[in-house]
Amino acid sequence: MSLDTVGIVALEILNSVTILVLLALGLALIFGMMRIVNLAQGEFFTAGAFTVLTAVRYAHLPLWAGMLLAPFVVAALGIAIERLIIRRLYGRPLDVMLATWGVSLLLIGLITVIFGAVTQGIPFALGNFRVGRYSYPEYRIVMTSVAAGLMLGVYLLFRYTAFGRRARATIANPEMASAAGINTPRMFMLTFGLGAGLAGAAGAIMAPIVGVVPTMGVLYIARAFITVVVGGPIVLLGTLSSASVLGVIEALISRFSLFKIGTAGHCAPPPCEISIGGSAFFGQIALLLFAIVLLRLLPQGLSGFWRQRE
Amino acid sequence: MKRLSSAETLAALLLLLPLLAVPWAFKPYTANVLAVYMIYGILAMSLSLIWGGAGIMSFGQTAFFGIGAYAYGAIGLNLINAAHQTHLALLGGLLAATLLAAVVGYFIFYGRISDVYASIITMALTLVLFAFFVSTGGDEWVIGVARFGGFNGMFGQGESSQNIANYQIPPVTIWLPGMSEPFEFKINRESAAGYFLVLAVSVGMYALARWLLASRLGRVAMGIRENEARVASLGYDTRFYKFALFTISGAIAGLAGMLFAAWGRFVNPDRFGLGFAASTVVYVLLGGRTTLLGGFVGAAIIGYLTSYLGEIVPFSTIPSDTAPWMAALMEASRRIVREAPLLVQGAVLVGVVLMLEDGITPPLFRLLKRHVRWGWWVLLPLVIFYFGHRAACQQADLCLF
Amino acid sequence: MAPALLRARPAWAQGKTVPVGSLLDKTGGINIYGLPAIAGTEYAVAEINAKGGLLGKKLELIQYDTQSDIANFPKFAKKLILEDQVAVIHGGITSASRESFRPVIDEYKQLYFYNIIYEGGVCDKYVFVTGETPTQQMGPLSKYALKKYGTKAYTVAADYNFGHISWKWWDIFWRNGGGLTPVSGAKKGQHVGKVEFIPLDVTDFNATINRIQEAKPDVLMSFLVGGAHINFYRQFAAAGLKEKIPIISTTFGFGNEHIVLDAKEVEGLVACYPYFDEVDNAENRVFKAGMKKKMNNPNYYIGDAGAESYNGWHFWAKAVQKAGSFEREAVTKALESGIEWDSPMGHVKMDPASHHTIFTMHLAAVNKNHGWNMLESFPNVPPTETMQLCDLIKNPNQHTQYQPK
Repeated sequence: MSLDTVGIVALEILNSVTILVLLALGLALIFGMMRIVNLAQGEFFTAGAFTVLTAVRYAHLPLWAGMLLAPFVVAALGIAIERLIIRRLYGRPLDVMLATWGVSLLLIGLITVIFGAVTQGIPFALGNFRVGRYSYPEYRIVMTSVAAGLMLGVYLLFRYTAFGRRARATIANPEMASAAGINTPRMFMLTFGLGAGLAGAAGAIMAPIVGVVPTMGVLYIARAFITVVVGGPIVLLGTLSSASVLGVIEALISRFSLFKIGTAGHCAPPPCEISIGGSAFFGQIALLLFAIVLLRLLPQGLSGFWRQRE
Repeated sequence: MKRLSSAETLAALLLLLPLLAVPWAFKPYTANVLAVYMIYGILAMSLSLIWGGAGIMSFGQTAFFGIGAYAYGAIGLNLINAAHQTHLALLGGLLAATLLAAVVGYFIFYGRISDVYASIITMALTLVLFAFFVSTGGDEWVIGVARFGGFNGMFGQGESSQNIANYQIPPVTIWLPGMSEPFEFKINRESAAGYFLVLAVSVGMYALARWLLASRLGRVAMGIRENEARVASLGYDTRFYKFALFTISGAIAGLAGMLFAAWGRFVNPDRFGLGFAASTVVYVLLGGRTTLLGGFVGAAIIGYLTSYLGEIVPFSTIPSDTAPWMAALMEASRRIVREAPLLVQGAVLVGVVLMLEDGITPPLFRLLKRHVRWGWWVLLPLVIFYFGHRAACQQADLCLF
Repeated sequence: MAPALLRARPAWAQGKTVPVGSLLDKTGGINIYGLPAIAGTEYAVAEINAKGGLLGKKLELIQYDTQSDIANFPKFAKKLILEDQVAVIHGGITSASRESFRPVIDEYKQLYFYNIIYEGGVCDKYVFVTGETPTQQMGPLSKYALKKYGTKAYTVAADYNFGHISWKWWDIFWRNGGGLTPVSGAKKGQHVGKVEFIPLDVTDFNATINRIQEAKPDVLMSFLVGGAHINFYRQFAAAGLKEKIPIISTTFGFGNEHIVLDAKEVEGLVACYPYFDEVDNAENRVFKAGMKKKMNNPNYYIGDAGAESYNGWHFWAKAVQKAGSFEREAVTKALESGIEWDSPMGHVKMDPASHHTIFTMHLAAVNKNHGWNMLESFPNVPPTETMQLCDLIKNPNQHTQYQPK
């Protein structure tokens, strides 16, 4: 394998990890801090993308302004949903899951009513750079930077601010935190809003490369969940470690054939044999199978495993 | 669950009566649609069994449904060609679904994976199967004459692999010694045998589930739902009870899948999709997760509602001289009706969870229980009169209602 | 056991109107194709009724929204046949939807029109196809690309039957220099790299685009389908490849990709269809004006799906008039007499033996204004791949689908 191929494969892995981090961060926050499985997270992602679309297409704002706006709009949406629905269901994890699924279907329906079911594009102007024989879009590097920035932001927020301390206290022991004067319902609301906002940011930043359509969240939700479940209970460490492991697996399986199996002899060469691996299909299958097997071995996920060892 | 079961069985019997009369009283299409509602109802009931019974929420019942359908299709296509019956296909479909449920159940329960994770794993399972079956479009995915067909669904191929869709998954067909020719369970203008088969299986599965819940297995499972630690401390191996109930419910889902493939004579990967998984949960939630009949009721209501919404076309053309605000209003209502199937499902999920935790059937059963005698005397003659009239007027082609 | 339920005669034999059925996806993911087809359907039926209907009876169009759910097709097909007793069914969009209710069509011996581009090979006595098949697109496309771009091609295809079967035909055309059998004197194409089958829900094409760069093809053939795959073109352009590797496609534009995407992302991409709104003839001018009025939108783009649905209904109407009857046998016989007419697409003809349509095909390139520049037209292009395998006159008892060896 030549040097430039090594470089491009490294970039592909970085890209896979970036996307998984973007998809999973908000979900992991909500799941890790509130123990809520939020099946509407994919639609928060969609809502972020549509915020950008509306800002650019209808309000004629510049692209970056739309992207800055998206997390706030979606966080507000998240807070509204928390107040209206999820608040009444704390302590009933299964019901929260079902209610958020309902919210997910409702949001897809509403977005379709407003914008129609057609895929819409957000053109963007950024160049590309060369890696030996390959040229690679700069935008993907921007995405990676944003993902890293979001993770750092979440870390700083929880580590060093008063909000972070209160939130952690609430998560560790809600009764005690409440007794100590922390407004716990408010903390849950803000945490949920933050998780929604992160999904909105992810949707906004990915919108230009993936196209905007009301059902786009559905395409990503399974991968987001797998990343979170594999990551386990510690939000940032879990997300980063599982996105790294799964991203490498997905990127490598998508890229390289593992082995070939022969087929009946009536198809024309060259693609007569089927190779296991070497396509996006096998990348996704590998992701899912790996997650199922890993959970059998480490029911607490990667970060849970590390915590136990300490 | 226990207290209302007698009222529920009474309600089931009350429902059974008109269902028996349907083929005489309505056009074949009605029997066709009711059959598929019942098939979805069996699937939904299998979810109630494990969800209401042991408190385990399985998003993956559709996976067992789909596997049952595909296995029936693959074996049935070959059998119908060679032996003109489908006896072994019925067995094979059931076996495949049971086996898959057992393997998945082993992973989940013996791996001590917690509730929410279990739900996510079953969801992942159905998505993996979807991705797999979608990618089976090539020539190499064939068992005997049964082409998997990828997204297009399963077909029987002809004499060469060039001829990829020569015939279809057979209806349930029996040919026992002593019969002069094979008997097909179809639903069409000439026959309602397929309808009665589905009805019989529905009744059988309801009885089986009712019996299971009353048995030791069901009682322990309900204990697990309430407090697993306490049940375990009494010396029960809770893993085994959950595993057993999960496997049985998977088998029932597989049976429903086989009936589906035989009913539509077709199966494709959509049965593994997220949309179908969502509908199944919606059926159970609406009907009532703590009842067995709820799944059937939910399937019929949602099925009818989405069908109806698929049929109405409001304001298909908006005249160009309409006032702008009126045109906007018409356009908005048109779009809302267009997306109504999704909106209805979403609203049912949110609404039932928030306001009607047990779904719609338990209150009805309570009512029935309170007024059993009254119910029999008033409802029975009404039902008999209605269906008698339908049956008579069908013949004369003159219906009052 | 068996209750006798059948009314002696279908409803349309008695009433003043004739029920006719249409099954298309008005909602859900497939409605990007469904909505244009519904528009074409409603317009065609309204037009037929405005001219007094057929055989003195008005058509009563019964449409069910199949909601992009395959399970709805057999269900509503049964409803149309058993309850509404329609004279004809039009519709179905994806191959999967068609195959899901073709068993119902065959069981009840129902006349059915499939009005959309597909992978070819359906050979069924009860089915007529007014959409284009691989040969009709690939013949012109491969000749054009071999002449203009070069002989090395790379292929990306949607990972389901349509993509797989399209690839098989494409392989034959490309190697033979533009025909099903070797074309003498023509440059022969070769495939570089491997064909990539991409699942319909994949949105990130990073690795694929890098593999294309490794293979350095002269031309890229795309059989990509649906909303998620639109992103391929954008990501391809973002990697700076649009100027280096030209793209040809049998699917691009069919889902209005040229309107969704920015001109700078796809300008110059070449496709081949029987219908573009830009096709210039008298029938199309009337058709376009009428559709724009119906949709209340002066910028409405009809597209291939809308025009083919329109054509499907008119093929049926012409056959009914010729047969003087709505009965399936009579109408089939009329269609098998080789009905031809000047449609908005240009001259079209029903091939009697294969039940497929012979079109005038048009090559066009995406222009700067989300439209097409017409390059070349090819009259009377037959669906050869299906015609060579399927003869429903000689062997009427077929209800199957063929694919290449």
